[in-house]
Amino acid sequence: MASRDIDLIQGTLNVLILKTLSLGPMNGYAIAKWVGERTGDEIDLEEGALYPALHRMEHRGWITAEWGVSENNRRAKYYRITPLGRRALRERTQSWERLVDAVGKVLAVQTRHA
Amino acid sequence: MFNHDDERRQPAWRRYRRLLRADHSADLDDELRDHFESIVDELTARGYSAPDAQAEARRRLGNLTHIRSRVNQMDRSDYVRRARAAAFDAFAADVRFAIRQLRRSPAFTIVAAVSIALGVAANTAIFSVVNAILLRPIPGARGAGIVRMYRNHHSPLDWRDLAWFRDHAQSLQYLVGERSGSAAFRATPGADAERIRTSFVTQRYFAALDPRFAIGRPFDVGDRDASSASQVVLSNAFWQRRFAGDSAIVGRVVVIADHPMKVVGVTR
Repeated sequence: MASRDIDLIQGTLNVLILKTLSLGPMNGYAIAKWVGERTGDEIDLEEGALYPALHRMEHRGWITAEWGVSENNRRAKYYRITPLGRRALRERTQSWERLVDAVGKVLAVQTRHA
Repeated sequence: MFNHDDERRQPAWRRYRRLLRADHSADLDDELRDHFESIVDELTARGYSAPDAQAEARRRLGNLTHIRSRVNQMDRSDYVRRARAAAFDAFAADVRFAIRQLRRSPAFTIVAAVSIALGVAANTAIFSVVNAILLRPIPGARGAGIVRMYRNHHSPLDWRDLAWFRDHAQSLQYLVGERSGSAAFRATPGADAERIRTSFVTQRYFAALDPRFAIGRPFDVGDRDASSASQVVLSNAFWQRRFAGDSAIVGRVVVIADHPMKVVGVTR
């Protein structure tokens, strides 16, 4: 199968989750769905990576979780970004932009073919 | 639903654990179940049949056991880390509180500190004696074959008791006694006195313990008759300190507790 998914650089997953949660509290399913829709399904947040990341960030205090009831009457866990998480999001967004900029400069160099 | 098997394998009380405390594992199951059902709902809305939707959701979620074990492991290690940090914080707070309280009442603090110092000192002194007398192995070539004999409460045995035990003991080859004390020592009659530690020993003492000698020999009752002087064996440390290891000491008469005594040997 052709690689439809973009391999996520280590740490990128966190910033994607934080950005998504900055829009409002969501459960894991909604986070994955939103990122998928937003990127035209280029990025597929795998559950095997998503849930460990959510729990790790919860321990770090970047996000908090509370239990609620979904529209289908299921017990669902909703994550919410904390002020600490917003700061992490700001910092990581900046360093991501620097990285994209730097890599872009390198890749923009025109290659001459002999 | 997807963890049906797990639940059936677990005892019934396991389901109520959440009532007692946070149950991370059960919470994670609920969280993943919500995810699974959400996918099923979405697919059903798009026209999948229920079995197809569940099969597809199962395929998309992949290895649940793997996800569960990864998250659980992380939760657990985080819990341990937090518990440790909390315990240390509590201890630090206690220490700070104690210091504040002590500073507020200096008289009490001094009395308490002095009490503890005296208590420690007394215990150290007692231990030093107990260690020297009771715990350290008895020196001498026989080593492990030697036992100490005690009466209740370590009250001393007198010579008569010892003689009785010596005559009646079946399992002991020798039964000897030692009474330690201190006495004035003079190198010659009329010389300056020095207080030294002394021991009076029963007959066959040296035969029983068999210590090694630097010079000279041990003594025993058979060695002397009533007319000759009492005999003494010096310790090596005393011989070195007082007589600088002079081997001419053997045969000399020294004065201990105002009694002339002939030096017959020095232990190694």
